[in-house]
Amino acid sequence: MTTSAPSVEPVDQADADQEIIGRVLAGSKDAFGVLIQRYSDPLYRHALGMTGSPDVAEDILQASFIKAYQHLGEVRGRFDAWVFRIVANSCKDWLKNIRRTHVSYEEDDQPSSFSTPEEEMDRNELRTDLEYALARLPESLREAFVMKHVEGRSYEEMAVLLETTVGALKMRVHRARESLQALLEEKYA
Amino acid sequence: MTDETPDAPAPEKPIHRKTPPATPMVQAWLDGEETRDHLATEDEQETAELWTRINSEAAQLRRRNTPIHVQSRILNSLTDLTALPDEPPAKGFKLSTPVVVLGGLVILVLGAVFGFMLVR
Repeated sequence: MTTSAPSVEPVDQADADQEIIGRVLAGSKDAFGVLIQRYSDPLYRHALGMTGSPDVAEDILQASFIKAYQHLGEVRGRFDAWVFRIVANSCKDWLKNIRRTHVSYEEDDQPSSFSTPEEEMDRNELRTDLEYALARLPESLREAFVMKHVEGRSYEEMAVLLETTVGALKMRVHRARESLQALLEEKYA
Repeated sequence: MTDETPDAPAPEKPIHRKTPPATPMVQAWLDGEETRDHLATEDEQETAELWTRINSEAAQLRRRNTPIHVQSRILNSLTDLTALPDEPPAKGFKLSTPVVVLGGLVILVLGAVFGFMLVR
């Protein structure tokens, strides 16, 4: 598969974020809404991929943006990388505090794109198995896999966001694939 | 080393054959560095088939967006909060710049006087 991963955030986008941050710090609360709108989707997907629960992902997203708002003056460098780390750490904290035996997207209220009920049933089974297997991966492997395969990020972008090297991330993703395949293949190989 | 007798019954063929593990070439294909044409063996094609299904499911998850009510919920929750600048006003004693400059000059002059006296 060749995923069309988004490129690393362009510099002018980072400048635009800085300009918005300046407005927020000057008292414009509404300006923060622009940042929420700009970054909530990728952050939500990350939280959803890591926790497996839409409700938890929403709560983590809300708490993270509140934290970001209250500490906005501390942003150094790119806002998107900074707020990503808040969300990523919140997800890890949540995973540490809970022993997940089952994760489910069944609460999902997104419209289905399956053509037939049979196809939908097959896909739901695959999805459940994938979630089940993902929940069993160690945090660092799960994070790398979710960012690469679910969020469709490039290794370069992942390296910026996680503050590590491309080589280290490739190793994590490869190990995640091996582990995931071992967990999944009994189900539907 | 095992002592297997020549006429020992052959192990039963497993009902389900496991998908071969991803080779470096399959990993490279999954990383977008190679095309599927480069997967030469049947095993690699079999593994690729499994990953095509997994990726297809992952792509469904990639299309997920934040539920519409969440963004407004976040904004509403900011009502009583304030975005703070990084450096809060320092508490306690702090020297102003003119005082620091003046102090530096005094120390310099005193040092010169003491130096002059020692030389004499």
